[in-house]
Amino acid sequence: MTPMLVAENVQFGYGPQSVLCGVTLAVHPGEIVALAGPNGAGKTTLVKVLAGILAPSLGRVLTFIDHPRAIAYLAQSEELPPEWSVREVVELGRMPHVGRWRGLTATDDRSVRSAMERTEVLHLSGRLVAALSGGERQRVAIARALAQEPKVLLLDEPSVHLDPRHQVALLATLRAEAARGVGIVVVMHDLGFAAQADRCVLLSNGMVRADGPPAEVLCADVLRDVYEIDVEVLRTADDRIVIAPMPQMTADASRPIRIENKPWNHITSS
Amino acid sequence: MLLSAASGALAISLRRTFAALAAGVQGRASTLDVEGSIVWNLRLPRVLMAALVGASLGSSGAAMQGIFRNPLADPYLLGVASGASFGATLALCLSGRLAEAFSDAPFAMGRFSAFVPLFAFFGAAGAVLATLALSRGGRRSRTASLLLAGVVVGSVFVSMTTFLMLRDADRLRAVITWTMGNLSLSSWRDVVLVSPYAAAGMALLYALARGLDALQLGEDTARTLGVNPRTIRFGVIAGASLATGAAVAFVGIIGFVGLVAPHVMRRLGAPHHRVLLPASALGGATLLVVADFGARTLIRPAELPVGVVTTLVGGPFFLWLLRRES
Repeated sequence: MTPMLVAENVQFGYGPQSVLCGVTLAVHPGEIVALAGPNGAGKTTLVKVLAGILAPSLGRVLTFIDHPRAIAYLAQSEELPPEWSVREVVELGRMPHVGRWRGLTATDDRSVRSAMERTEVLHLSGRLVAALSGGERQRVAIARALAQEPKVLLLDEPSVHLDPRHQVALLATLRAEAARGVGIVVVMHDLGFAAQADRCVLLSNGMVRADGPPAEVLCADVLRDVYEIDVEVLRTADDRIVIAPMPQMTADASRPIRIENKPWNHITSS
Repeated sequence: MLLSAASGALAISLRRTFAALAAGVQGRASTLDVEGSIVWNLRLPRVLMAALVGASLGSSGAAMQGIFRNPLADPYLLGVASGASFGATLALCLSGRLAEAFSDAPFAMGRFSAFVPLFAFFGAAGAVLATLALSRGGRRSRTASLLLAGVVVGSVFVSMTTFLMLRDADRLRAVITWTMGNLSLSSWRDVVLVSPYAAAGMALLYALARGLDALQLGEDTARTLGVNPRTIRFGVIAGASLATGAAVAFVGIIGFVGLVAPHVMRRLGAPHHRVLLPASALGGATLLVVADFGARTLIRPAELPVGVVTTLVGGPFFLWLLRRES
């Protein structure tokens, strides 16, 4: 299958500090790519390069879609104007379609409604952004990206602030988008969530350390190497992957801390 | 506006005001009696000027707040006002008419030359470009460095203007009157001279309204929505310089209108820039017409500079607005 978006040997740096050191990544239609890695690995930068916000200093990004604005991007904790209503924010997603002067048509209106339904924010339509909770705000931001009806969806930590119910719902929404042929890149820290993607890419120090099916990438050896912690990779009965980090070993970890001897223990219990 | 045209040091009945208006519109201004002539030749242009300047300040303020995503931004923020007043002063200096401009107080700079608004625009644009150039390459956030550079450039231009004025004229009272904003000498000719700048500036701002909307989601996201933040920023700065530069040249520096009008309009439920910009223009115009009305009637028969009124009323009002918000 031909890819929709390809990063070829991309290098990028902020000033003298290089953040991406030759990253190659292809996004195919209908697949969900989870992008994970430690803090500062270059995940956000890579997504911005893919979105065309940052130009790579070396290498190139190729798009194989009809329209460059068919890429929707959701920034990490996106800023939303507080005095706007929810509906008005989501309508901004239609901007690439309506241009500078035209008003919203029935088609635009349908896309906006559908995006709001899928992220369960339709009932908040008239509410001001300032009056939303963190999770609601995040869902509004996701709805804005969905309303753009993109061919490629780039989401930087979309599950942040979401409760488990809405995390599951988000994944279902992304699945549905992928089923329609949308290529999706999702940055996420929750490895259990990443395990449910079609492909998992582990980034570390600006380089791709692993790229493949989650079952192959998310194994104890690779994770220990990338995150410098010990993890246990478990499988549920229905073959879902659960990543359980082990407590960090300290020099005297073998000696258990005796809490019962601490003087304040007596004070609080009496 | 009518009420404002009817009021002043000499009270003229609304009916007579109407009559004078009708006569003027029909081109019979020369046949008017003294009262009619006051309405048509003195008060009406003044009211129109107030509306024009208020609209320029209001929409420029809204657009500036839009690009900085900061509710405290106003059209004078990046040195626009100080640059414009420097340009206007320079124009008068070069044409050797500064002394003449100062010879009777109060005065309006603009009425001496058609070049004044043009110089004011270049002064404003020059100040803004200097601000932009100075704010580059710093390690601070773009907004912070822009604001800092704006303050510095503004101060430099103010001192240069003061230098020019003091060198050529020692009429300090007149200078102060102008600095506080003054609409009293607006003539039809002034209105005609200012309106193209105001109209062009506001039209440019309006054309950028959708882009300003997108910018509210942050520069990165705006870019993926097909909006170039640089274009918007430059366009807004050019439009605001055009509109407020001319206003400053003619009526001096009038504070708070550009700050308050967009706030009131946003509160009234017009956050989109396509609505907010015209609404702020309307709000600014109303505000300044009312303020000018107050300036002329509060201590009748004497007059207050309109800038004093807008600041005296605008300041507390703004504080009240902020308190209510929190």
